[in-house]
Amino acid sequence: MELLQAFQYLLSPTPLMWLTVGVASGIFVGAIPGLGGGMLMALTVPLTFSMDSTHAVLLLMGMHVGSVTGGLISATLFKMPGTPSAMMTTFDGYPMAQSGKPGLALSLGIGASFLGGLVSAGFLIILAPPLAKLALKFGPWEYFAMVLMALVLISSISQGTMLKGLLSAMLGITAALPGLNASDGQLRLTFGFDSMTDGFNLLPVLLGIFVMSQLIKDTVELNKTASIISLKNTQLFPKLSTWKKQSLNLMRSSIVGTWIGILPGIGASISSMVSYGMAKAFSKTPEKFGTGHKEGVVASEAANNANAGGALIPLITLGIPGAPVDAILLGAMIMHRIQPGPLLFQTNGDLVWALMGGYLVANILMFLVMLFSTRLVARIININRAYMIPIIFVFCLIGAFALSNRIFDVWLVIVFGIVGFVLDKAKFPLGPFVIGYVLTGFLEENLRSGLQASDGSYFPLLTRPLSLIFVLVAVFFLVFPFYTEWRRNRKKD
Amino acid sequence: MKLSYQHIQDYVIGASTIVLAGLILWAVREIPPPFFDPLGSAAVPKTVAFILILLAARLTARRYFENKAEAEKAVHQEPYNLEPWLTTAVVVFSILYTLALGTGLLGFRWGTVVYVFLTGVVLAKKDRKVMGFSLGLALVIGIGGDYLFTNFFFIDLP
Repeated sequence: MELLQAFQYLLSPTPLMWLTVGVASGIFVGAIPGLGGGMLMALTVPLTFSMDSTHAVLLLMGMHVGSVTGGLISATLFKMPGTPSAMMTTFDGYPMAQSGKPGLALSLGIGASFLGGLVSAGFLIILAPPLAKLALKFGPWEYFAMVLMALVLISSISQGTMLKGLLSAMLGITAALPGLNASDGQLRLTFGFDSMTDGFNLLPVLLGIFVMSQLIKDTVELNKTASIISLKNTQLFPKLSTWKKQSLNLMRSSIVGTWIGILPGIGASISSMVSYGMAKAFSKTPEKFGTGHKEGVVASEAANNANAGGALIPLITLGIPGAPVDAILLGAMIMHRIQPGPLLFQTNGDLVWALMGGYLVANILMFLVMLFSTRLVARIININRAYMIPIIFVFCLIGAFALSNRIFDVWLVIVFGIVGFVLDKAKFPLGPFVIGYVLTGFLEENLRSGLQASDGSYFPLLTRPLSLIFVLVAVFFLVFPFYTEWRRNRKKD
Repeated sequence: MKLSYQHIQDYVIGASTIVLAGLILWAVREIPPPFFDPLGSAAVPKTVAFILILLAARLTARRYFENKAEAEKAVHQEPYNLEPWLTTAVVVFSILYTLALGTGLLGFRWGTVVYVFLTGVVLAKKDRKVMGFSLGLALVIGIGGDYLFTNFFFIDLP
């Protein structure tokens, strides 16, 4: 019933317009190598301050859905993934396009993205309400243990080594520590600077890590160019017979993508990698992977779009971002005074259903926009970066300054941009940094509440069943990579 | 022994992290013990600082003891030339632009025109067509952006 009302609302002109604007701009920006959904969303957040909060969140969500799919255009035609999650698409999409079938590669990618999105939307609508009900039973120790687990999980599964992932998460936590501690009114780590009293605001940190660091990277890699494959005389409508053969692969990849999305903090790149690996393992023709195989394109694209829907589940029900990009969505919701979590179903049920329905509608819009605009987007995405880089920094400056009219926030964008660039260059994943930064307040608040309830004892962390499970999972993921590394080294010796 | 770029990166990050953790430990000394709750304001930063030291030490040690030949083999060369000086110029321009706006030396409108044009010129790498287009773009973003953000989005600009 609520879902039907949500669709009624979503199909009214204004929400539909914002969703369409979000999806279309997401596709366009996602298709441009060097930009991406995170950048677009972080730059858009300040422009939404005067908007209705539901419209703002729908706009950002549309951007997220659009950008994940947009990345496939440049991955297929340039061999340069527009977004990191489209990396696996280059392995088969580009060779297929090179062999004279760019239309088939794109139509497979578009269709797989659409169906992956629909499957995850189904899971989102079915799973979110009961999960939120279950989460209502969580106490502070369960939340504390779950955030710990999320941090360990994202560090261990992120690209690069686990050690670097953990260090990145801890640096993110460090960035969230300065400022006034609301619980006892104590200032900490401000080093005598008045500007630090409020700590580092979320938006400048996100703009720095997601946007400024990427701008620096784009400048360093200014000479990175690629020739585009023409889309002339190609058919972009997927054939039904092709889909029949891909149905099992499609379903499996969508489910894998959704479930990896549900795991807190893990992004679409991992989903597409795992799905690609599974598709290869189950394939009758694994030797064809990497040479322009249909199964490879379908697995990668279905999984990365399904991940976006899966990642909304922990965000809506627990207030924990399912992927680094979702941290921006979480930040935007908090700035619009919406606190995601289990209580959101009770306090703002209309919004939750609008979000879940909005994700489904965004996927349908994405499919339509991709079918009719891919040729146009493919022609104009090869923009000279000399034009883009200064303009994007101007937008960063406006966004950071608009938050509280402080030039200090603009300095933060530059500092965190440099930090993000250095970490990225040294192969430290930035996802754990962002998730660590976003979840620190929540982590400390729940630890404090738990300790207050238990008279300063840490035992409930191990005596309460759910928190014990989260702790055990965290310990497993923490120890396992080190154990395998130790065994590998021993074998070598 | 010559160190690889990866080694230097990890050593620098490891050392910087240890310095950062030291700063945190030094700064939390002044925080009084908790009165109302068992945690207080210093416990989490202290714990984080110790974990940072542990992880940074492990990172540095792992680099130090790893097989140097294998590490060299793993070095990935990009198939295009990197632009470190151009990047430095862009970052310096961004800092000067922020400084000019922060000190009131230039307003948003003309500060943006100058910044977008100069950065565009540097990134154009002597391509006159791109330089010309950058000037047009600078005027549009500076003057148009000033109008758009002030009158349409109601955002205060520096």
